[in-house]
Amino acid sequence: MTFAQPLGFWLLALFLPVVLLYLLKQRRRRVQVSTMMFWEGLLKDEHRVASFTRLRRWLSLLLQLLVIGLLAFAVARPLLSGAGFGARRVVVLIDASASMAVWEGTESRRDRAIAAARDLVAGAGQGDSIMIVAVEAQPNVIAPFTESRREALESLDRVRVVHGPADFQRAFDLLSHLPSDDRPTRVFVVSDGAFSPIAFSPPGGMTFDFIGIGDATANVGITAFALRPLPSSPRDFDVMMEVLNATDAPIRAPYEVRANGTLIDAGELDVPAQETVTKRFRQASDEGGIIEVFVDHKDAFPLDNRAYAVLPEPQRIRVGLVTEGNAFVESALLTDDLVDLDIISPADYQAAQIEKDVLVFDRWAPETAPTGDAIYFGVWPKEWNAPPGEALADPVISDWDREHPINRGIQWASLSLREATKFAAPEGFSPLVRCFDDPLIAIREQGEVQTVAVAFDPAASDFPLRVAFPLFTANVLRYMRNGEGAGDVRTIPAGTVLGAEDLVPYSEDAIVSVRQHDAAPEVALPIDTNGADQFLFPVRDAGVYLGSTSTGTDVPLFAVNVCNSTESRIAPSATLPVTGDALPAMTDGFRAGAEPWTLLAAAAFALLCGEWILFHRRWVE
Amino acid sequence: MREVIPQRMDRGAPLFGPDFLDILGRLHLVARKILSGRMKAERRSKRKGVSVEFADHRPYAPGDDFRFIDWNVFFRTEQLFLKLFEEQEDLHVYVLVDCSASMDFGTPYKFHYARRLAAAIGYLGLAGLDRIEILPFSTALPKGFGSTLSARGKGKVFRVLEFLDGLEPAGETDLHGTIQALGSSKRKRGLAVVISDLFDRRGAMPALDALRYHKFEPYVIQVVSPQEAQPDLLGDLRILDSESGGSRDVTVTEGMLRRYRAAFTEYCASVETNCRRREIGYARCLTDVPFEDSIIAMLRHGGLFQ
Repeated sequence: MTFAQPLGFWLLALFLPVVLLYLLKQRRRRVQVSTMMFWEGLLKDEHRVASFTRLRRWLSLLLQLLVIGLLAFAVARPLLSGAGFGARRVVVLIDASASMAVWEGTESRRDRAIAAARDLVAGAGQGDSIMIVAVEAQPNVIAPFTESRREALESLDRVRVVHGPADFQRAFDLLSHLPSDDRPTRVFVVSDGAFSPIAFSPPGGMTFDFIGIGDATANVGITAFALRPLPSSPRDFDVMMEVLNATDAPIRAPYEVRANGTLIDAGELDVPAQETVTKRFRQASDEGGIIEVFVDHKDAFPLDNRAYAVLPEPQRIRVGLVTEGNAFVESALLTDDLVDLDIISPADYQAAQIEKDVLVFDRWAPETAPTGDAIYFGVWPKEWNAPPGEALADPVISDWDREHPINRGIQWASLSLREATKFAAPEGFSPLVRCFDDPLIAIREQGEVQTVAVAFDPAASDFPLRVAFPLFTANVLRYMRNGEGAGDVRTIPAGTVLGAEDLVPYSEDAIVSVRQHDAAPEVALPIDTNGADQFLFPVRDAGVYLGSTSTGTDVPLFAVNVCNSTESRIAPSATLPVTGDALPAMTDGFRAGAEPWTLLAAAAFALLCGEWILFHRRWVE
Repeated sequence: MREVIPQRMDRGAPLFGPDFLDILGRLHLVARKILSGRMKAERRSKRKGVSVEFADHRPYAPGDDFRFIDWNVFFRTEQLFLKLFEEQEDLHVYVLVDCSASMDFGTPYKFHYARRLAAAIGYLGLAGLDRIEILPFSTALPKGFGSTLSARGKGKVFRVLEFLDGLEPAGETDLHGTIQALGSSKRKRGLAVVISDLFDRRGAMPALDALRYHKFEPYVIQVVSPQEAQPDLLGDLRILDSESGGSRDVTVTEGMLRRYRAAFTEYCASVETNCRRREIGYARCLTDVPFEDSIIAMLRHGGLFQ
């Protein structure tokens, strides 16, 4: 047995004054009578019952001490536990997905869910263990099993809505792995039911109740938003936006597109009822930055009316082409307007130290490889000890790494090769394009230095005649310059937990803090620059996040969007959306068990009344 | 309707105020009216003597006075008989006033009440030409000049009042010793009016029997305070005896009060019953009843001044 308010036992200190009052001799009132002769006759009878009177006084003391003891016990709030007392384990799963931010009149669904959870906690009986779990992208245990209702109630204030979906599958998996207990487990799912049906069979000893939250059903929102810079022209980007009309009537929704706050596009979308419409368009930006789309429709869920993306700033690349002259390669590089091209003869290259971002060696290679990024066409440095071998007979492209960014947008299968050289790739190279077992294009990444070797002369193929050739050179240059993915549009799902190392690709300078765009500085997410590997922070809210660098500048990092058709369909569900046995909404209330302290207080009161009737009532009648 | 003049009966009130003589005068008139059919202010003696009232005959004995031989009887019976006449004498009224400490009690003040009763009885006696003697007592009958007062004639009423006013309550009640002292004195026998609360641990009846033994005609007036008959006491008390000074701790409950009232009532009833059996006049006076009403009630019930 435990006690919720053990300080209540201080009431037992009242024992001392009560006993002292009994022991202290009461000063009697002095009364003069004319004669004692009548009283003495009575006192002879009283003497016979004096011992009984003393016993009555001690019994009165005992009863009063018992009353104090019961009161102290009641104030200490004993908590009975164990199956014998009907104690249970109570698990409250609170939906913290984006749809819980829907406003229902003057309060959000989250507020309603918290109120319902408070009722559940208040209804828990003495000895019940309560666990509070906020279901976000992963289950977030707000309060582990506790028998303190106060602690459970206080933890409810820490439930925050994450502007993303809730993974109830993982939450239910968590329930399956709860430690076994002889008490029955009752699980309450407090949600609007806006999540995809999940396969779940309640484990034995668990009963589930679904408490549905929400009334509003109509909503219009952006369910998908993506930007894609064109590989051939990083200044240009394609915009894709999908808008859902979760109302019962078709709508014409105005939309706006802004780049760094400047309106760059606007229009209207006709969306049929309960359907989605996809809008694609192309835009250009010389400087990159924050791209924001906004669908102007007043509804209960304004969060999904906006979507964001962070477009990386196009970066110029200094390229040195070491060649005796190759119009194909030179033309391919010149098609990229972000490339600053210098054509260098092999003699000049040997005569002077060349500082370029990328060096392209066309059918000529130095004996030692440069320290920076380089592309070799047909030949490679002698220091590799891999001289060009025998020619491949009837070279064809049999396979390529389709996932690699360098191969993005390139269809290698239709390429015709007249000749190619067998390339005994040194250690560290991995093939990008193969002719069966022989690599035709290979890449080596040593730290920040990338090297690409092409084992055929582009002039001996139809490669320069294809769109794939400048696309290939552009992909290689951007990959070498920006690394994998860093040059892409950066959006991450809500609920992602980031570490400091995740921010490294976004800025050359160290990022010392992260904050939401347009957010006050006080909500900045601090970064421990001294212990970057210990730094973790969850990204919960939709919007654009900026990083403050050690040089004092702000750089856009990434964007977080709701963009989830399940969340945007805000109509609440009447049942818990699980496959198998559907769980209907709870109809009966959650009753608390008996309160022992009330019984104790009642017993103390009854004893007090009895003591007064037995010992004091006759004195004052 | 008779006008009742309220009398202050608290401890600090004057014992005999200006109106007291008026009250006594009224009492005298009322007493004469009540007693007019029974006596004429004289009291007959049981003793035989010389007077005009024939009483009885008795045979002649040598040495008797020849003048009292009834010769008419001799001629009819040829035997000598003497004519006896009633002797008329003064009535001696002894008023024994309890001055013990137990009389120093109550509201209205019990000792005031007793002395006023004594004054009234004394006045009525003096008005009837009786000889009145006031005998204050507590532990014993006082001896010596000035400790008692004997008076005759209505003009001595102020001396009586003055004497009563000078009495102080003190000591324990010893009724038996007082009666023994009275009986052994050479005082003439007469009416002995005992004004007391009768709170004597040895009991009142042996003393009254002794009074009768010594040929006195007792009349008992028991003065009782309402606080004695119906005490209003509850709780843990230390009770102090006004006479002995002793104390007892007692927790008074309602049940104990009931038993006290029963014991007190039984004691008073036993005294009254025993007085009736012995043909002793008895009256119980509660001090919250005006004393003149008590006097009139005594006169109506008889036994006093008859």
